[in-house]
Amino acid sequence: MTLAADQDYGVKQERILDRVQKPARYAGGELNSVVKDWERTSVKMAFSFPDVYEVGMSHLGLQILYHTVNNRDDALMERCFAPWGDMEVQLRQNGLPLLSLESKRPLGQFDIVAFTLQYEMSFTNILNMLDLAGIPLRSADRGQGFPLIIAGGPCAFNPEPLADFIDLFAIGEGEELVHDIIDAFKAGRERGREGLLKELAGVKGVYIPEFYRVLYNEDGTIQSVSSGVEGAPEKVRKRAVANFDQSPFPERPIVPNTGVVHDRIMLEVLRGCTRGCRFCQAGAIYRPVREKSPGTLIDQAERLVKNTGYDEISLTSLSSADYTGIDRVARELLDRMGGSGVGISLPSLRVDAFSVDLAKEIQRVRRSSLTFAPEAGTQRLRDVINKGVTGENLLDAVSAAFSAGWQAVKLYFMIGLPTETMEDIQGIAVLAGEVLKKGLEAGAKKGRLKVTVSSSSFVPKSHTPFQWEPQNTIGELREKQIFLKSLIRDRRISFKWHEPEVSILEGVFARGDRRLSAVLERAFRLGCRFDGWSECFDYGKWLQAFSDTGIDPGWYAHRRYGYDDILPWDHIEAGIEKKFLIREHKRAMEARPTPDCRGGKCPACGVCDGLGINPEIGGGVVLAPLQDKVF
Amino acid sequence: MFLPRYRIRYSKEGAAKFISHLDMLRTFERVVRRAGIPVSFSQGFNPHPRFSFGFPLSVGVSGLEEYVDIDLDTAVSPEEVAQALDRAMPPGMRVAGARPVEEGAPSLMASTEQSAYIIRVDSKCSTGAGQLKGCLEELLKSPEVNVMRRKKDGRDIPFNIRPGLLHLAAREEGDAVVLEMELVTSSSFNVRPREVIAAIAGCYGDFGQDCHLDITRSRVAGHGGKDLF
Repeated sequence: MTLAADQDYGVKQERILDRVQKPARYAGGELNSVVKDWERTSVKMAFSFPDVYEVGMSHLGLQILYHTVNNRDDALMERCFAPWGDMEVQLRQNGLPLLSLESKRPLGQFDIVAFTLQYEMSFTNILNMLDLAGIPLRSADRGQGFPLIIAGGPCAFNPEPLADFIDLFAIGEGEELVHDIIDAFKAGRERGREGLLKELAGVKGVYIPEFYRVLYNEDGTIQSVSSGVEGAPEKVRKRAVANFDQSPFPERPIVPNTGVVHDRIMLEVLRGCTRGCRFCQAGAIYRPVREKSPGTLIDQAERLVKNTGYDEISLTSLSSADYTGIDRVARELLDRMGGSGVGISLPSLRVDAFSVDLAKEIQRVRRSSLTFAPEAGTQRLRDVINKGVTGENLLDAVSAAFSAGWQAVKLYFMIGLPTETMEDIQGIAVLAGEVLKKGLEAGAKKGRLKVTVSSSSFVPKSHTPFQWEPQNTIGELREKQIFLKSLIRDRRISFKWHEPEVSILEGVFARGDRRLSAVLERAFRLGCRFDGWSECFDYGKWLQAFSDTGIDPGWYAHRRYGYDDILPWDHIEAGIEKKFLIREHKRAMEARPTPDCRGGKCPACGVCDGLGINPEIGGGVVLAPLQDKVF
Repeated sequence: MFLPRYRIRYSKEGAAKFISHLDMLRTFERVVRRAGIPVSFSQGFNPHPRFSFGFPLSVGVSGLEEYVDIDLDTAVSPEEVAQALDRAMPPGMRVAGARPVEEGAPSLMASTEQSAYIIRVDSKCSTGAGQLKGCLEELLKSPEVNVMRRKKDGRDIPFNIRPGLLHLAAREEGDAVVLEMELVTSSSFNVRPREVIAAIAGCYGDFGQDCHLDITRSRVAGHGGKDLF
């Protein structure tokens, strides 16, 4: 770069903004964004979201970390998002680096560039962002003078496919961990790259992949993973915050200038979920369950409305209807906010009549349809996946929905689940038919009644009881989709499905090892970007990348992993014990459900003891570890 | 029932110039809620505050004197309205003042007749103001100035913008050239600054082609340049 002054970047970027769609994505300057004095701030971090602005700005984790870091006097955090294709072309044509939104500085000028890993299919965007910033992709090629590249978020629980590119993974919740990383960075920054990484390796929850040696067996499986550096722990355990009620929450979140996916207040009512669905990684990695107190929620809601001007508060979490006394808190919020035209919404509904009644009562702005996720078509398969929902629950829920005036219902299912047979697929069609019948019985208007069946494909995820399970092949998934489609004859039922190719790639990277770094780099070089966007996804390029690097994606996706195998992520601990996962997997194969520990019986997953953090229910009532174990 | 209506004069610059006209409604909804002024909401299932905007500003164009009319449920002093709104504005937007709008007055959209623009052109994209001035004089002397305008069906047809060219001038400022335009921008006839640039390119090589134009709408006015405020 041959630019005279730093501020020239912003001026130069502005000149290309009239040539791209939605320039507000890159302009910054939103209400509550923070621009600190660059020269006077010791540690400069860039929160880098490997997807477009509208997706990234809908992510609560960004707002939480932005608030947490910018509250420190000695640190600043700015934002950067993946540029859409038109912007990438303009940046490259004009020789401009990728810039942060706040001070319009190239990512390369930051001390720490922090990526969030929300989705496997955003990995190529990470490489593209590094490349656009002029930062070498591989850690080994980055000497002194380049930022520390770190990453966190759910996909960091199996960080291995990104091991060659990322210097440091932050495992688990970031509210406290980010402070520890900044402190260690300050302590070690003068000691060179190696010295700095050694300093950081001592922080709990920090994983530095280059400090670990992976050896492979002849059949390709892992022989051993060992820490080769003193101070780098053999096992890295996730971080989780205790006293969640009082943990920092952004009361002045950034308010975007343009419409984003979740354009409303996100009030996190609880963290974690104890339902124990066996396919669900979020349920595993965010344990234990911790609720905020009603008093905290009401205070935060009032301040958030005042500081943002939003007219909607979404009560967010993995399962908000599970919040103790959700109806009382929701009503209290409505009483206080309703007068100023502020509504309350629930992002997802539990499959029961209670949730529907709650939604009916509190949601001022009616969504046109209600969505439920029974996940599987037969009771046997729902027991296999431990989805604690019966057909009766679902029919009660949809009856309540239809009689409350909703005419459209969406049902989410997964296909390709372990032990699934064509009978289970048939069960989806049968269930959809019964739901439609309930609609007719409830007198839903003839032309308006609509049931949508949406099927995604099962992807085995690390740290879940299904982590050993093979994924269906593209052919098998497609066959099931075609079969299901053939069974759905009624025009009032519509059927939507996910492309199996994307699901297979998700599965490869969700359970992959560090040899996949080569595939990612090759795919990026071949032009893969925004692979989670159907208009950008190019399976042909991915197959090319696998073939060019000599790696068989099927070996990762369709193989049954053994209980005794060393899995690529075994040295990253979510707190759940492997013996619990094995027990859960065996129970799944016997179609035996395991109850939610909220009910008072502890299934001994190991999280509370392992992390030394107890469930926090109703903001103060501490339940566990429960002594009354079911096993 | 007539609700107390206020005309707000505001500016929109910096990052805020990228807020689209569609997003402005949402922006103002949030501004008034933060400001805590008693805005009147429409009746109905999904109530919205009652705003009425003036002639839309294109994305990326700064506005120095823009207007919006806001209905309140109860009368508040205009100074108080202006101050409360100004404090609640996002970065890049400022409120210059508020005044009551009398009952029965025409809407902002109906009152708007013309707009003044200032356009800065990079030095590398022009060879100074001299040649440009000659070109502007020529345009103003012509009885017809045709530019292509896209119809709803996707066809481009010639459209005569000459009746909408009220004033055109060029001057040099440092090493940039500054174009000043006053254009008719009413709901029945409307000329866009980029159409004028295209017309200039007709007599001045590839003027403005592939070149960044820093466009500011400096004023929006009524018939004969009458102040809307």
